[in-house]
Amino acid sequence: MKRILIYLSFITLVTIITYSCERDDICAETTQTTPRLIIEFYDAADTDELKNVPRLTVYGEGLVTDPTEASDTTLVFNNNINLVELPLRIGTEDETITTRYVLEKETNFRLDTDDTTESNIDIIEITYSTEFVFVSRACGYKSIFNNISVTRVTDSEPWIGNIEIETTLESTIENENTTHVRIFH
Amino acid sequence: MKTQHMFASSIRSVIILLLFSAMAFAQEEKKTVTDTLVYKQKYGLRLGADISKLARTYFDDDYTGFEIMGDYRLTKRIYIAGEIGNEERTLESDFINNTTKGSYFKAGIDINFYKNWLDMENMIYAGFRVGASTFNQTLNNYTVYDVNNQYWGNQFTIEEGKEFKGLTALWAELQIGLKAELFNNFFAGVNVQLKFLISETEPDNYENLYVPGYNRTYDSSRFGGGFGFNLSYLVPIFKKDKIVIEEKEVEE
Repeated sequence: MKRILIYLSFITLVTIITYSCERDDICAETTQTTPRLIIEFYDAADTDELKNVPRLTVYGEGLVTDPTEASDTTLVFNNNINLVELPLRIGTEDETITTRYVLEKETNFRLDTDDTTESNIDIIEITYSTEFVFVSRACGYKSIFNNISVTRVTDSEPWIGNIEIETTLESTIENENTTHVRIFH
Repeated sequence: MKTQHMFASSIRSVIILLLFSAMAFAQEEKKTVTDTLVYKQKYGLRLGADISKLARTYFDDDYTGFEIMGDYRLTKRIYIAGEIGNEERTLESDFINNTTKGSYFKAGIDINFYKNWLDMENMIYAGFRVGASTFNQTLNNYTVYDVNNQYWGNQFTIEEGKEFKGLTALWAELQIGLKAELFNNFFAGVNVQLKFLISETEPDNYENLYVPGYNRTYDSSRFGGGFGFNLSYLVPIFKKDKIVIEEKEVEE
């Protein structure tokens, strides 16, 4: 009887140990890690209404120039869209970092053979500082972004009107749960 | 005369037969008596070291450690037991490289469930321990986890180390194992350990990935595990009689 008890407890112990050794060293995709900057496009005339940008192409400045087809470097290509998610570059903590994106409206006018119509390129400049926050042993650290500001680079023919950062964020981007920036056009 | 002689002889033979049968009956009759055997049992301090940790130190580049264990026999079945050790362990994943360094001690009791035969002193035991550890963690380097970083092609790694000092942890531990006397006073033992983390000091913006004595931690639960393989030597201090009462059947 006693021997059975000992065997039983031995087996239980081994089971519990094996069970507690379940893999938690793979970072689950559902874990919120470094967020992207989420921008939504609104109607400049009716500021509560989302408005698609016709034939929008978005890519990081310097990564590609005048793309003619969709590729890894174009986040959006020639698409009617009202939401873009922009990955931000990560650098040393607390240093001011600038990431620039090219937002090209009416890309089809550049792509077509008609020389009288042209696309309109606006560049937005995002400045921020990074802060690294521990997530878990599997995911390690993520970066959040502080003191964020988004401006349009001066342009003779802008299509972007106003840029607003959600005030509730207090200039900090911690996750992708909400829209961070509204662009009116 | 002749008939009388015959009668007498037959009587004699009957008597002899009866006598023999009575003797045979007496031979069957046995009595149970108790026999008291006394074995000397050694009581004392058993000291040893964990061989698995030494072996791992030798073979594993990411591990250095040792553990000294000891127990003292209180009663026939109960021992006071404890371990003291020091470990240094480097854990490396895709995003984090961390070194934990520190000391620990564990104290508790072992209860022997094994009924030994004759004068043997082996153990199959269950043990309970309370363990405590003080340690430092160094985050050697880490890479910021960003699934979208390939867009800009900048995986950002921070190379400068960060040290988290004066960390502590407290846990309870259940052990099940055995100790067998290989030769005079010299024991070998194995055990498995189930640990439950009671408290720990959490470093700021980080977590304890490894606790000396407790081993690696888990995000999903407060349970941990471990095992030990030890060799020990019993320093006999005094002897006590182990009285074994045996029932024996003896002839009258």
